[in-house]
Amino acid sequence: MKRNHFKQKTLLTKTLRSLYTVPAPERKDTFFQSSDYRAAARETLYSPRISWSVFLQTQMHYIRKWNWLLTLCIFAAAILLTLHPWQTPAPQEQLQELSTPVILSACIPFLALATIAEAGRSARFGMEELELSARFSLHAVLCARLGILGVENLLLLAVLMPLGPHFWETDLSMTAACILLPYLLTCTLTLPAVRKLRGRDCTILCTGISALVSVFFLTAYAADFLTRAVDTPALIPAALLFFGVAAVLELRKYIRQSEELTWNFTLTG
Amino acid sequence: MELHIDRLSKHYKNKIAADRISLSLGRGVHGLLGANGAGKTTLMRMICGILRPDSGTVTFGRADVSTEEYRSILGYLPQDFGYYPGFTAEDFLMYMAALKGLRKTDARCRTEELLSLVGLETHKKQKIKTYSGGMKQRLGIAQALLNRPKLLVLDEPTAGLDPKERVRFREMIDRIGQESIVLLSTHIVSDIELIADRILMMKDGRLIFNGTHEDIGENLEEFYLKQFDDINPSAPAPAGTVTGSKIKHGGI
Repeated sequence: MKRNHFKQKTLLTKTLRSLYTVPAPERKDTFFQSSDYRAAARETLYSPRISWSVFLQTQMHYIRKWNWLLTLCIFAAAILLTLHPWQTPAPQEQLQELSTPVILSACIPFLALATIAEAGRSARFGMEELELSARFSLHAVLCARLGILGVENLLLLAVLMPLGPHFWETDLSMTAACILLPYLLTCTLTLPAVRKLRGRDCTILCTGISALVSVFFLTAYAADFLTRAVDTPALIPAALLFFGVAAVLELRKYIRQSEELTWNFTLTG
Repeated sequence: MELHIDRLSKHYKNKIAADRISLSLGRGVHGLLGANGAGKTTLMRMICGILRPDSGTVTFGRADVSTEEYRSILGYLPQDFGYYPGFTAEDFLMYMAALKGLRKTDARCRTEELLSLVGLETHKKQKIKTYSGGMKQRLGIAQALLNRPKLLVLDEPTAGLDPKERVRFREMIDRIGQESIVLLSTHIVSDIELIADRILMMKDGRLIFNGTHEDIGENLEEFYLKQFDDINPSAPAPAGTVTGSKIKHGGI
């Protein structure tokens, strides 16, 4: 009896749904535009604004996935090359010419490039003006993205650094030369290019610089230049300090430049 | 609340783009007219804090143009704007809402509302790269309105809009002008003839006129064209004409 009643009710609902057409809202736009609605919305719905921490979280979603993927790939490559199965005599011989830190030193310039490219995305796609006029301006967007990716890169490099003395039979100085130096050198060389150039020219130049740094480290190792540099006392720490300071100064200039639109009056009609 | 612009100047090498511009703008629609290269975009960019002036100040109430407080009441539509590849209209508005500090739930609600207002609700999942110029412009207008701005700056907003969209746009701006300060730049006189409460004219980086329709007292287009002819010094200047740094009665 109860089941029958339920069936009837369902049938009635279905029939009513098929017969009754819901009328389209007639004065929806007028309602949204009415001063009463606007005032109420301003007071209640829109008064609390997001905080800096929430802004950071939202920016994390807008960082391209391949940035995270590249970091993961470099980390995975480092682990795979370190793992025991690779240490069998045959692959070891094949990899003798290119040891793990050298392979990583050739990949790391592209990690720096990915981070710099992420920062230069606003200019590349013409979003600068819109972002400059927003509450969290371009300056904030850049700080957020570079901050997130910088911390992520730093974590990766920090994880890779102790692997050298433990697994790759390279001392700390050699590991730093292969991991930190390419990163800092790429940052120092690409940041001025990002500051001064726009669009495709900038992309090509920065990719070229990263490729050159990558090739430089491969050939430097092959030509025994890196080993000799490591053997020279204080050369690697001095180089790290020099390129570290240069990268920070370039980064500061880049962030300062983002406070205002870089624009050439001759471009106007 | 009023927007105060005080002796704003900007120059690029040997070209003066804005020459000691001073004015105060209250609630309503203000139409900024001027030929290409007159300095309209430079002035608007300085009002939005995008360009730093060489001298002068821009303030809204107590907030200076460089502050977050100022930017939080600002809505801006640039002459040209880009978008990240892969963005749909909805993604674009959600991204801009995040930059404007709106919470996610509010942003979603406001995005729906604005997409409906500019007639893009059926295209909201479509990639922006597939949009026509007019649709892109309407999306630009929508992003400018996201934070319910008290100061709305629109640089050539009607470019790319078809006649029907222009009418719809004018009605929308007229409504917004009742509650906010709207500064609208164009070189098309008819765009502002019907809706602007006050007309501003720029020539060679200088503000040459700042007055109402009553001050002009004739067809706006004719008056606008006259400003670009050689000025006859013996002819009486209409109210609102800016001479040096002073405005002949009728101005602000």
